[in-house]
Amino acid sequence: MSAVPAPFAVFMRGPAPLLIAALAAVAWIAVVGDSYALRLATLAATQALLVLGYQLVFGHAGALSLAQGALFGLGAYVAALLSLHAPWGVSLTLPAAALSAMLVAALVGAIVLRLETHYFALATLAVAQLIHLAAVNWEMLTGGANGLPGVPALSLAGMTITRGGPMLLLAWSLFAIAAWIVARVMAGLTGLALDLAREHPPAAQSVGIDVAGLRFTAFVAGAGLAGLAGGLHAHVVGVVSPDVTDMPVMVGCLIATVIGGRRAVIGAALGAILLTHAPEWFRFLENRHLIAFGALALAMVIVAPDGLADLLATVRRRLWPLPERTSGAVLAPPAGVARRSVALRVEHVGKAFGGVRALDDVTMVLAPGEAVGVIGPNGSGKTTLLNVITGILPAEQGEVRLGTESLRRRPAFTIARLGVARTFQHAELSAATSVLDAVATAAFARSPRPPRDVAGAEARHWLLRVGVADSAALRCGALPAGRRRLVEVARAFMARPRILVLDEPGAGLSRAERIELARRLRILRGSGTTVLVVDHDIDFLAACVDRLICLERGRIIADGPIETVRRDPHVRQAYFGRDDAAAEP
Amino acid sequence: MTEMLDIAGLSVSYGGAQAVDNVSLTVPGGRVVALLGANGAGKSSLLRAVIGLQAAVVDRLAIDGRDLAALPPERRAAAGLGYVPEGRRVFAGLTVRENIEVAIDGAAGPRAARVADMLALFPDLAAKAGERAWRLSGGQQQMLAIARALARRPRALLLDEPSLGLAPQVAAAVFSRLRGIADDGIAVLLAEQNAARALAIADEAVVLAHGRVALSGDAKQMSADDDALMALLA
Repeated sequence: MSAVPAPFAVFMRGPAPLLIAALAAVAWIAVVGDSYALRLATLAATQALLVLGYQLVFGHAGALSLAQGALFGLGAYVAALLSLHAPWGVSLTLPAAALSAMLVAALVGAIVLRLETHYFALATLAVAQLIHLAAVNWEMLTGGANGLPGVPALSLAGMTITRGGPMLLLAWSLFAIAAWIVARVMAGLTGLALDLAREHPPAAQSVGIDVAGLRFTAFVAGAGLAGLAGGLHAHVVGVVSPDVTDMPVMVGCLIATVIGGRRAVIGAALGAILLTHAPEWFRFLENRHLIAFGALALAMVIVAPDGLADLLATVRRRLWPLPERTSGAVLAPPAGVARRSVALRVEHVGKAFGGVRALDDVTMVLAPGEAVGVIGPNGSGKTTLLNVITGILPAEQGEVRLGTESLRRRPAFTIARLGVARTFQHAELSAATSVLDAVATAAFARSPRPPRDVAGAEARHWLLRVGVADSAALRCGALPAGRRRLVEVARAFMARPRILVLDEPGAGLSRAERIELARRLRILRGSGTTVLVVDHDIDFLAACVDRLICLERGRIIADGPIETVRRDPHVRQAYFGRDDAAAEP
Repeated sequence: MTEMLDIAGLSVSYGGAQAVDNVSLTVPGGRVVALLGANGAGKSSLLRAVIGLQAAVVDRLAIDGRDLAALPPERRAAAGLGYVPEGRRVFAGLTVRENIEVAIDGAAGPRAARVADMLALFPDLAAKAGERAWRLSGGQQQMLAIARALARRPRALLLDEPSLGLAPQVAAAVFSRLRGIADDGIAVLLAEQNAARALAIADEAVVLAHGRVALSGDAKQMSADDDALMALLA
């Protein structure tokens, strides 16, 4: 690779070249384009706004909504009706279109967002059909199949925006503003929180992220952009018919999102431009032009399965490589933030799966700052106990208390915000996220929320303390299993816990690495963190906890100092079996 | 003694990083070879490359003299290669019994016998034969992944950290069973963090460091020679 001057590479990798290209394209069309070209380019902007909104819902929140097209149509009708009938007319049509779509989305989202993927898709499809039926049948308001002709041009603060050049500039300006806002938000911790919430909801909740709330916000914000796009569409075209609420709008939106890219804002523009312009390139094929477009779309998906935006990013990375950042600022958390130690009380907790009692009248107390290990045969209820404490599973009987606070019926993310952090038996990290970002994500729920670089500097501190700082720049998916668990330990510390709950943190580590981890855990909890660790390695536990509990079939069969539990005949029989070697020091 | 599993000049790289660097090893039928090494030494990558889930450059990869290098993973499995992946990849929606059954070809009669054989090996699973796999605890899912691989009666068996998450009693049972199936003539390649446990049942050991073979030899001598081994595993 030839040596590219770094400042030039930095420039070419930044947003500036894309902006210059976009400005040049808009200026070129505005100057030399005929009215048809102007109209097409303007429609591309409305499509881009629609897709930008859908990226929030589908790409970032991971919800396959099929109502985005109908919400676009709703916005178009609202804008048309207001500009035709309301006296205060055409200045407020766009905000009204966006707000009405958001309102409908909020009502729908409150009910259907809790549904699982395909049920959610079906529910939103039903909502889309309702909106479409209303557009066709509510003739008094919508004009039925004839639609609403004669929608006037837009006016802003008394100034009329005529169709053609001015409208083109307005439409793409609106897209640019919206895209800038979305890109800024996603470049911060919010983007990371959405990634984790989409791919590993329990892990997101374990660091205090309100997964349902985040999905709802993305759904409503995406609807707002759909409504805005629909309103703009009404003014550009001048007539609104039930077609704008129909399924082809949704299908087009989905195609543009997949072709352009699910998450990068530039993808929304690229996908929309291709969707609106490509069919025109094949007009000479007459009746077969849509087949040709279909073939092109298929080719795009095969060549760039992650979208044109991703392809563009890869090309730019190849052409203008930048040295990878291997180090960066390290920031210890300010001394004042350590939270007061607190006791954890588990009182008569019971939990059954079908007929199996996973937990049966479990009672235990962890004194403030105490570290307790849990052992037990496979299936004895260890992970269930951790899941009940952290709120991932509800207890059927009994109570869990943090200090004086009852955790009963609290959602998992609020328990995390009270200071309970955990790791998982099978590390839950987004494969494409870097190790540093994965740890920084845990700062999302803090109030006030720190900027991403500040969170990153503190994340580097915890990676150093846990002993995985050399992996900071790697993708989590590239790490071996044992290291992934250590990254989770760092993420748990990043959440600044009062209670730290670890599920087999030493599994997948070599003996030497486990001893090292135990040593580091001892140092880290010196600040007064209460710790509950499940593990099968008694030597590891002996090196990092003060007391041992043994579960068998959901009941506590031993609780006491490590040596006492280790020598307990009942424990030896239930847990170690005849493998006495493992029981000896 | 036949050279059941034969690996020569195998390399795996991720982007620029060399995860496995020109590793050669053979596992004769009836022998257990322990594959040891620190976290990130390349053990999992090696096993994934052998079963075919990871792209690799290889000079020779054969089972019982049959070349596997050009085959996709399912054909390698059909040729007699068994694989227990790291991280409990069981079919969550199937029952315990179905999870084992899907791995076995052939008539229903022998199939039932082999399922019964596996359930006898893991009494924990026998008690839950009709339960869906997602209801099992983590350790029980690990047992099921091992049972599924064993049920195929592979001629060579690759295991990636089978003791992960198993209680000591169960881990001991699994390892003694591994010794048993090797004694029946199967080649066993066992990647494991718990070096002491693996060496106790292994005939030979290969230690990887930074993707290369750093040490190899007789397992019994290696357990005695702790310092050199521990330095490599740290």
